[in-house]
Amino acid sequence: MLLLAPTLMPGPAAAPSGAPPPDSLVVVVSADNPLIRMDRLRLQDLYLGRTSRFADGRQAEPIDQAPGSPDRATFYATYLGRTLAEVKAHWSRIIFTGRGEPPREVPDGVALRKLVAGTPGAIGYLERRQLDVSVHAVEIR
Amino acid sequence: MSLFLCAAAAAVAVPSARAQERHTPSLRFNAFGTLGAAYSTDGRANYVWNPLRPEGPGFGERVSLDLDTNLGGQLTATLLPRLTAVLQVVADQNAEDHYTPHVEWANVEYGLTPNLSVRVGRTVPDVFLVSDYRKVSYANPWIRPPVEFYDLVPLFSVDGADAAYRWRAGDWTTRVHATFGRATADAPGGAKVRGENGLAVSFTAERGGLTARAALERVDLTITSFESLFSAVRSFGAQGAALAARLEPRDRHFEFATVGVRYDPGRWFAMGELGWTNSHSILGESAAGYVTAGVRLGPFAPYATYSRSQLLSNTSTAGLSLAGLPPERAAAAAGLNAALNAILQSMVQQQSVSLGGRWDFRTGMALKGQVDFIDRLDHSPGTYANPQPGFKPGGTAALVSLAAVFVL
Repeated sequence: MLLLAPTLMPGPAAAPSGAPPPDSLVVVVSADNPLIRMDRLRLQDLYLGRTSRFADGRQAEPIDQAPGSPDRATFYATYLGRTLAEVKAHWSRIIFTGRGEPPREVPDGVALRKLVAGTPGAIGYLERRQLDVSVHAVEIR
Repeated sequence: MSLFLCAAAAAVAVPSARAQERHTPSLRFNAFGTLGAAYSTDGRANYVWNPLRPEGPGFGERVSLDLDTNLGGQLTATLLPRLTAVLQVVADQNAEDHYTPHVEWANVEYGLTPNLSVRVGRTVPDVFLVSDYRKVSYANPWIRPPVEFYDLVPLFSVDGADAAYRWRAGDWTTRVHATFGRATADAPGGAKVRGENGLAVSFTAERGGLTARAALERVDLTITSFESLFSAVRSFGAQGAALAARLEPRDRHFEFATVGVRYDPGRWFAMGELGWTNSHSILGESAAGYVTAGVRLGPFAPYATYSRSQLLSNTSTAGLSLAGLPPERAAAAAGLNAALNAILQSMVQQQSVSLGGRWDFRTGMALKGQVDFIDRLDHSPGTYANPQPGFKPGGTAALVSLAAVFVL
């Protein structure tokens, strides 16, 4: 049943322009990660470098898709309400004051799934149709 | 079968090897820059955004690239998981009107615990909302931070040590940051600005789009450009010594306090800061502040700013008493009094309304335009330096600026 679950939840067909509709993008963690839901503010703080921990205190590592990925723009617009330019400006303030570095990047959703699946504290985002048993979606409230 | 197992083991091993990727030594390069041109309607002095910068648009060249143009490069090396070294070199207009690169940041940071880190070397304290990245125009809405406010403090880079403690209280991320050290800067004409025993403490709280900060700083400040003036003042016996002790910026406590708030939920943004400084010297006591608000319309972000700087201390002094002085000494004393009053009168008192916009035409690059309507208050030259014959302190002027900015 678990194995079938992803195929029972087919995502909408990819938008022709390449940008997925916002509701088809999900936040994911490794299948081993007990995290089920998360505050939107905590997710924002993880991706803006303000915290490196989940609410229960475990170490978290946000993963980004490559700058050219349409999922990336959709993720920041949907969950952080920010454009990629704003996010870039935000990280400029941190990088050029030596206070940190932006999330690790992977080329696309498939690479992200692979990395998140094998990294206990990793968190990322991908299109719903890219879900499989190695990762599970986290509800963002 | 054993081959299959090996392959499976290798597949499992890959993610854990990747997880350790961050802990291998790494070296990263980043860069930022601004190519900016500014035009001043007043051609009888030069608009500068810092008294340590000698040139700007106005006299000699109505359009100047010197005000905003800069280029910075940074190397960040993660040597051990908790040990990071940063070197940032910036070329922008210096006191000699050259673009000789200088070291803006050079420090080694060690994370004692996940919440507490210490740095040794050159840093820029985060006393103002954007003081530590004021030269990275891409990171800010304006072409340059509001000059009336950011002009309050003459020194930014500090050589010494700092400690930052970060903790989380509910949804708030908070940070206390203390910096101790010394600072020097070159002033035009070969003079030096020196700060000793500097201590800056800032407290920052962030929640979602809200950032609030309060900071205090004190430093023993010396500005050598006034040395000959005050040695002449001291030659007038006890009253000269008393006057110099009151006014000379030599090893004098310079204090300032500031609060700032930024709110940026995404569709719009607003920020403002208030600051107060007391130099306990001829540089006086000042208050300054600004408010900025803007909206984001796709890649465009128009904004408006009001900013103001005002002197709280007197702009004149009785100076040396001429009573009882022989005629030639009285003339010399009168000359010194005039020089002292000229300095007091030249302190920045100015307000401006700025309208501008930013166009993020691609990620990492933006074009900006800004018009500043400047009102020099109380017969102050404001942020105009290098006054020429015919320059009228007080009065109004305008500045039109364009800039292309990037980060890499």
